[in-house]
Amino acid sequence: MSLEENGRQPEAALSTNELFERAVRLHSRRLLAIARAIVGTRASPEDVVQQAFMNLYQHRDRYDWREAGGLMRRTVVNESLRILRQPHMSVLPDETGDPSGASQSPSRHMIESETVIQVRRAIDRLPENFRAALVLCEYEKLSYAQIAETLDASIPQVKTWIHRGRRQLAELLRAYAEQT
Amino acid sequence: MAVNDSDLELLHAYLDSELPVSECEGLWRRLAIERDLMGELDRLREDHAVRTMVWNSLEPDDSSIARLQAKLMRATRREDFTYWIGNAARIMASAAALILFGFTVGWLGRDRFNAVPNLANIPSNGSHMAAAGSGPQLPLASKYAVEVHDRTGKLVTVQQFDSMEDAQRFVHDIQAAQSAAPSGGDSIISPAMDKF
Repeated sequence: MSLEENGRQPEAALSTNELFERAVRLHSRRLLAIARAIVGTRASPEDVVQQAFMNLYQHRDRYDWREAGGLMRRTVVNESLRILRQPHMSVLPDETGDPSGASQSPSRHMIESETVIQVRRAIDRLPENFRAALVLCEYEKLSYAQIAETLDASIPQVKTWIHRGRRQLAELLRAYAEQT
Repeated sequence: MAVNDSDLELLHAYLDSELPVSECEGLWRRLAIERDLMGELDRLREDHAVRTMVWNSLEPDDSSIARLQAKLMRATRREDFTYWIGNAARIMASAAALILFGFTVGWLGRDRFNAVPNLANIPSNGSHMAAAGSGPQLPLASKYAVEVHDRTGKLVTVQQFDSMEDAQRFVHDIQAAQSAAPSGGDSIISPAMDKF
């Protein structure tokens, strides 16, 4: 499911603040996943998403909050990449488990298999643009043109990032498989 | 036949539904013939499925979502409060600056509003008009005017005095000067007492 509005509610009576809060409720889950994929263990995804939302909130009157999915996604991606480009990044504890500390559900336990963990670690080793392009392509199901607009790049550049990202992932996982 | 990088890129675009229809038809023909290419496509599909599972595993649970939203709402409330406080402070500072400016202008210009008429602009008929910035000035209320005419009756000057005594002394002096003159020449002037 892509970042599209669903379950439309009457919007005429909603203020800008209320529309903003509704957009946050609708898109938080997927935006957190995108932030996690891009920043990995180098930063807190929650802090990244919160900062991105606050940047939008401070200028909320400029935007149309009835269709805010693309705007919020672009802001979170830009904030994630900006955080990664800061110097002196420290590695945070791997949050592959339940970040809240509560016990995992059986389905989550199945998902958190060794393969998934290894793929996550391999993804974390990719260059930031490769990661961003891959998560937008395979998780958000965006077209190359949409990814190019989000990352402020050309379509051939996006194709190269996706192709090289997948190739590097395959090489990293092949090396891991040979070690085990 | 080994799959080259160009073919890999073609397969990736195909899996992403980014391949034009014409190129798709060409790829299908090749997939029907080249087993290595077909095998590579199957491997890419498996990798894609694993990565999709990984992306989905990155989705947070409900408690993380709730925590993020609660933090965000607190931050937005704080932002609103700071904004309104700043706005109120700006309005009060602007009002205070305006009041101070008005007071300063009034204080500096207080003497100008008490300006007195220029003696040179006072018509001989006794009416008084205020004129600023030229000639000597005396307060209107303190004027005791003495008109000085020559023998032909032409008004020569109007002397203004602060007190009646000064005006009378002036008239007395003029009269004394005239009395002392050897003859009544054209230069002799005769004061005319103003009515006071």
